[in-house]
Formats: sequence, structure tokens, C-alpha cells
Amino acid sequence: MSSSAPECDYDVVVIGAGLGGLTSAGLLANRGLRVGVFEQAPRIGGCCGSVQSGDYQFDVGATLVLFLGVIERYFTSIERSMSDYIDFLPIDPLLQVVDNEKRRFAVPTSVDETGKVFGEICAASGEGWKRYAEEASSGLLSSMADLFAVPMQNFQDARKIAEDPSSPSGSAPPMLQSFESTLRSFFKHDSILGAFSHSSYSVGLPPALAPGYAAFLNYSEHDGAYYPRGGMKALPEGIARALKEDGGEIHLGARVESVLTQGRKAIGVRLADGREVRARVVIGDINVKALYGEMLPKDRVPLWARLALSSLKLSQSSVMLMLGIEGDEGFDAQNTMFTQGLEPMNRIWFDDYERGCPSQGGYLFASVPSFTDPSLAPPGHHVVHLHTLAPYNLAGGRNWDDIRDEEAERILNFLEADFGLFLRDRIRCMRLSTPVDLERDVGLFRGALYDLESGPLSTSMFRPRMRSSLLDHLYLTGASVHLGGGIPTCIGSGIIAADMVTEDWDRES
Amino acid sequence: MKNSDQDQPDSRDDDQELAAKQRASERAPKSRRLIYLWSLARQLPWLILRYRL
Repeated sequence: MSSSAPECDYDVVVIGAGLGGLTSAGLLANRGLRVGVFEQAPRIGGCCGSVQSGDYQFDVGATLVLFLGVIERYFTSIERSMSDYIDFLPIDPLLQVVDNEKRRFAVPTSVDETGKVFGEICAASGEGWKRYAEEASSGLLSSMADLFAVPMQNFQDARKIAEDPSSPSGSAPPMLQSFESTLRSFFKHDSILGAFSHSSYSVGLPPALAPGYAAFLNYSEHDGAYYPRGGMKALPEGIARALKEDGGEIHLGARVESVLTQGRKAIGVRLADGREVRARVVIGDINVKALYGEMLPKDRVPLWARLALSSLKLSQSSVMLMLGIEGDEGFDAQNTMFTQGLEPMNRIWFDDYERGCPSQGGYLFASVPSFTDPSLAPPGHHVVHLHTLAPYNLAGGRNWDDIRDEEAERILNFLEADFGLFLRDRIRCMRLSTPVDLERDVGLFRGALYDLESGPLSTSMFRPRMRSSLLDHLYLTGASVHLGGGIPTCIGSGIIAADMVTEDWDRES
Repeated sequence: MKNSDQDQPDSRDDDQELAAKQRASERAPKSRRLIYLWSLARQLPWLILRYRL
């Protein structure tokens, strides 16, 4: 690819240094374009990042990495070795489950070993796991990672995939069955149902409303779950290092206010300080509602587009209580699911979340990455992240900053009362991250962890197109578009967007 | 004796509440299936616009 006219500041401007934007930027810089990334926050990575508090290093959002092959694919594409940039440590067991009868069991990475663990809980669960594993490994879902860098913008793309003999084959995933119904067809034991139902929230919905195919996401973890040595920030930093080596530039604390247009074409961006940055191509790695609703000239967003945008719902937001604790009592693995069973996972959505209340019980997901990487805390200490569902907008005009202490207390009380885990005396450092903090500090639109929800009718070609439908030379990447929220999915969308830019650039040059 | 008298209604209430919860829990998955299908049906009118976006 050859660089464009010198009157442009860059060939490509990327709005936002999330994983999608960094991936697109890295690939295009490697292909010879002048790339500038503009990030409003003082650090890169979006919700894949870390923050230091005293002697403890916490993660701000994501706490593990799946589908490592997608990240390897990125580094291979830029003719580098992933291991030179990021050191991924395996997480095993994948999960420790603690129920409110204080029963504990581990879910190992090995599929066979997991079957044994479930069989020991009850024979039906062992049998259910066998059927679940067979279904997950024989269907289309087993090859999901192969589709991570393939565009799915319209029916033509879908047809191409269907007609390509090298495309993954297998039975179509369940669409008309909910996550809950699918999971219940394999398992009856409430603690297993409760532990597995957490992954419904990774598509932004409770078990009753999430699609059936998401029930198999748990199985994908058995291909390997990893944690980057040095904290989650090591992942975007690894991608950014390669980007800079190829001449790309990253500007931190540089908020983009609007996209500059000329007719139907994007020609650059205007920054909050008034500076204009001209480019031949603009890539947006921010929430599509913010991009189209706030950064484009009003006359470029027709009524039909506004209606389409308003019909797309955001995924859930959550609170995260971060603790630096002495000792490891109560935790046997990096990830622990404290569960009350499946039904409360729905109840907290319908009774609490949708009514603007912090969830009253249900579950707590604990991530203790210092089990995998001890360098995150002083010797003998751990960093603990306790996640649970929490609405961005609170009922009754309450403000998150006003109920911060109350919420931290509620989480600790829940652990004590329902699971008999007393941490207070061992806490050496504590901070609470609310949905508002995530928006303020990390730039996560309305604190939605996975951006737009990924239901069956808001996924693939029913998400906003990566090649913008509203402006030429504008592309979208990240969690708002195809593949949805998550680490491998955002990196996959970054690869697809970069390939689209390359294809159009070569055609127009 | 007084305590026992007071306990009995409480205990009956608890049993009734537990039974009601169990019945609700058994019913829930069926009604939730309808909720799921309804949540999809409500989105159908928007599909063409979403596809175009």
C-alpha cells in the first residue's frame, strides 16, 4: 500500500485505543500507511487495562483471555511472534464454584476431568456434561474461532461463508431456544446451572433472554483460558509496541469531538482542543451510538439510522469491588463463581437491574489474577476483583458516588452471609469501580461492559456495518460491530476492518 | 407455650412460602421461554433498519 497525499496529517486516523482500534492501526501501519490513534483516556486498552493502587495492581474490566489463536493471527499478519510481545499464562482450573450451601468444586481445563468432577456431584451431571461437550464440539460453535476474522456485514457475506468449502461446518447453533432452556436441557444441578449461567451476561443478557448458542461459550474456555503476565494492560501494550515499531503514533488524552466531513466523505477529525487532524480514512473504535449520535453532522444521520440506533440495546453494566487482601483463604483459583443457582441470575435482572437497583444477591464473580501472576501483589497477598450486575442509571434519582460505601458493604455482607467468607480483617486496600467510573475513567459508553447486547437479532449483519453505511471512508471496529464485545472478538473486528480499508485503498489508489 | 404458639404460624408461613417459591421456580422456565420468544418478536420490526445500518 502506498501512502496518500501529503496534505493529510495521516493516512488513517483511529478514534479510540481499544483493542479493535489498536489492531486495525497496527495492521495498517505494518502495511505502510501513516496511522494516528487518538485516545481520550490517559492510557490505552479501554476496559482491557490495569490500574495501580498502592502495592496492588488491579484490572479495570476484562480479567482473562480466550481464543488465543485470534491474537496469534494478528502477530503473524505483521510478521512477528506473539511470544516476543506478550507472555500468556494458562489459567487452570478454569473456575472454582462455591454455592450458598458452601459446596465447592473446581472446573478443570481438561474436558474429561470436568466430566469426572461433575459425575462426582451427581451421575446425571456427569452424563449431562458428556452430552453438552459432544454438542459443543461437533456443531458450528466448535469452529467459532475460525470465523473471527471473516466479515459478516450482509447476506452476501453469509452466502460466501456458506459456499466456501473451507468454512467450518456443523449443525447450526440454537437460535429460537434461550440460554436458560438450552442449559437446562443438559444440567439439572442448580449450582452447575448457576455457575454456567454467568456466561449469558457475556452477551449482555440474563439466562432467560440470552440466545441458546451462548450456553456453549463455557465450553470454549476448555480450549484454554489465559492471563497476560504483568496484568491485562500487557495485552494492549504488546499490540501498541508493535504498532509504534511500524511507525504508528498514539496520542493519549486527546478526545475526538467530531468527524470532519466533505459531502458524503469522512476527511478527518476535530479534537476537543479545537485542532483538526486530516486523514484519508477514519476508523471509529468507540460506541456506535456515540459515534453516529454525537460525532457526525446531524444531516449525515437520517431518521432511519436514528431509529435503528435507538432499537439497539446496550449490554449490562456492573460494579467491581477491588480488594488487596492478605492471605489466600477462601480462594483456590484465579476465578471463583459464588452462586445461588440459576433462578437468581434472572431475578437480579428482572427485579433489580431493570428497575435501577444494585443487584440484591444472585451471584458474585471473583477474579484473583495474582494466583496466576503473583507479581500483581506483595508476597503473601492477593488482588481480588468481585463483579456483579449494576445498572448505570439508579432509581429514585440516586447517584453512584453517593452509594459507593453502601455498595461495597453490601457486597462484603453478601459474601459473609451467603457464603461464609469473611474478608474484612484481611483487606489492605479497597476501591469500588461503578458503571459511572467505567464511563468516566475507561470511556465505556454508559458503563456497558460488552457495548451493544448480542442477542440473535442484534448480532453479525444486524449490528452496524464496519464499512459505514452513512459516510464513505469511515470504518467501524470494536465491540459495537460484528463479533461483539470481548477480547478476541474486538481483535477479530480490528482485523476485518483493516482488511476492508486495505481492499478499498488499493481499489481507489 | 406462648413462644410455641407464635412459632407455629411462622413455621406454616415459612412452609407455604417455600412451597410457593418452588412452584414459581418450576413455572418460571416455561413462562421464560415465552418471554424469550417475545423478546425476539419485538425486535422483528427493526431488523431491516438494523441490517441497513
